[in-house]
Amino acid sequence: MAASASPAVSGAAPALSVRRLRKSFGPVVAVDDVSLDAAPGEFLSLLGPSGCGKSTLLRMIAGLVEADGGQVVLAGEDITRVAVHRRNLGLVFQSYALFPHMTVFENVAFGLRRRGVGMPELAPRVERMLELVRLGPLGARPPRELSGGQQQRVALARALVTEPRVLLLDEPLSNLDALLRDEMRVELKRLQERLGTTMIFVTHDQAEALILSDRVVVMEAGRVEQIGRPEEVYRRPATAFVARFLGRANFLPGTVATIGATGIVVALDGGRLSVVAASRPDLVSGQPVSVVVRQESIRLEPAGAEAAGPNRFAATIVFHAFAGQAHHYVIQLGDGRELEVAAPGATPPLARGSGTHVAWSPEDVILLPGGAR
Amino acid sequence: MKPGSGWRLLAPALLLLLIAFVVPVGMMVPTSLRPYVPLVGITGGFTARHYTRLVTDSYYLEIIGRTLALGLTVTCATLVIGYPVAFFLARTRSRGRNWLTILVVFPLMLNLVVRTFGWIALLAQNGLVNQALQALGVVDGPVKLLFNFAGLLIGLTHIFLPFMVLVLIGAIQNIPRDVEDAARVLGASWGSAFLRVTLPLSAPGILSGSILVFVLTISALVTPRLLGGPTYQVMSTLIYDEFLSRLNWPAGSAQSLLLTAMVLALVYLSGRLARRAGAHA
Repeated sequence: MAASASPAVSGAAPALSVRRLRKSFGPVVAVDDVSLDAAPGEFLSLLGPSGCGKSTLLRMIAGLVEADGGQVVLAGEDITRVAVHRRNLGLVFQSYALFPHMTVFENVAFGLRRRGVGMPELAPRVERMLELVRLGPLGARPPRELSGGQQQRVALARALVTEPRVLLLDEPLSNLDALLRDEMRVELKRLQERLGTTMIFVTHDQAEALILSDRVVVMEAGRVEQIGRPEEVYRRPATAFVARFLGRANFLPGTVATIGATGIVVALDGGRLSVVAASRPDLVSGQPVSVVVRQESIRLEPAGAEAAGPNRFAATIVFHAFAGQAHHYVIQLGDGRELEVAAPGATPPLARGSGTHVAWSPEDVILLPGGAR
Repeated sequence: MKPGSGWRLLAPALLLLLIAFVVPVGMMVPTSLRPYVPLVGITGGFTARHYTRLVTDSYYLEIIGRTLALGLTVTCATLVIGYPVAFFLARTRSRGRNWLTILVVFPLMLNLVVRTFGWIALLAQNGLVNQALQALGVVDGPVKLLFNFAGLLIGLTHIFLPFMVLVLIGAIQNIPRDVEDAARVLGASWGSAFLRVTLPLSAPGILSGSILVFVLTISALVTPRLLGGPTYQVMSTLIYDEFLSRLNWPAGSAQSLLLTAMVLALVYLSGRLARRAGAHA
């Protein structure tokens, strides 16, 4: 697991380290030997399906769930056994978890009051934070009079006003409708860049993780599958799970036929077709592999065009749907195999049943050793 | 829902309320204003004497004061004992939870008279409690625990505790765990989070549980009669005696109407209080 930090933040001592953290609930292992580092100012996402242990991991960092083993290290200090309220972390919940019996102002002031900040200093700090999340005039309102997006901004202000060493966010955007979610994403990212707060962001939404993060931690069944920059986990997934979970992809089982200087030729199961992939050193001839091709990596070319090249096949359109940004096609290759293809939405659509050619470059082929799970 | 269908849904309950509550209570109003002559009975005429006596005669004032004091102490006792139990039952995820809930409710399934006689056996001059207290050297002689305030307080607290616990469980379960967790992450210790977040948010439950227990206590009859004996009176036993022993229906009616008025006033005030709190919460 090569945890490469983003260039902007590499080199510095981690703001937060998780060392071999474990947690079981009865027979169910929720978090299984997880280690990761977050660099100062980094936006790190924990991405995985529900039940993969990402929320439990976040709650262990916050101290709300006691770890069975392992360590949580905050700026060099082991806080594994430190009480929740002494950790000086921020946590934003999916449910907002605002205090319904307090005004917006009092909600934001809560953490400062617990730290003994007196009124002359407290009021301007709360006001400034409310301005920052664009809630300036709403301080006197009770939370229930605010919209979902505003409530989540209050929660964000409440967590940030104490200047926590690390801000933890547990699916904070999942309760918002799609349009508002996009807005809040941008706002969250800007806020993070402006304040430079280290953020650990739990989500099951792969697009959200890719857009927001400096690095993404992909989790499954309590374990870390891959840690990397968004482009890395998307373009070079370490496992079939990561490849499936991030984006839509076609999985073609095959066997490594030849390894040459220009590329690796994989004979697909079924025997009639082969795919060329960019060369890499760790594969041997005869090894079973899974060829993964993202749906947007596949180009559709008019049937008549005679451009030669690798990974070029005749195909028939069997399904078409228009989704605004893209056309979604299902195409059938000569051997009966079906592939999903996404073409830019601006291109003229191809009719169902019409013949075409599909092609993709060897650099866009992902090879996963051992075949698809 | 169609307009007017609400009335049709409420009609059976409203009819029952009218027949079983409004009409009898209403009928007591004229009775309570009739003079009563011992050995003769209710006579014609009009008098407010039954009311004026209630608020001037020290005998009645003492009973009214005792009834209210009992209601208040029983309410506080059930709240103090019941809140931790309710908090535990609302928050635990242990498998024993259902059994514990049954244990809390179990006293309600026993006959009230049986339970009260149980307390007589325990609290008597020579009962288990006095024996234990003397054996432990807490007291020298037996303590009087029957036919006085202490006896009623113990018996009524036991009997009405389940109501308080059940109401509080519901209220505490309604508080999202995330809200408490948020307070703790923000720097509040467990105790501080409880005082500043959990307790204020369970206020509606505390209010309705308290009203319920208070009203049940001041109108309880069987337990005060058995644990208080024939002489240690509260309002309900006084009314009972007035109607059935002394056959003084006018005085009994006046006392009943006062008790009803006290209960209604309390329910009304608590409703306003809850609305005011609701406007803030």
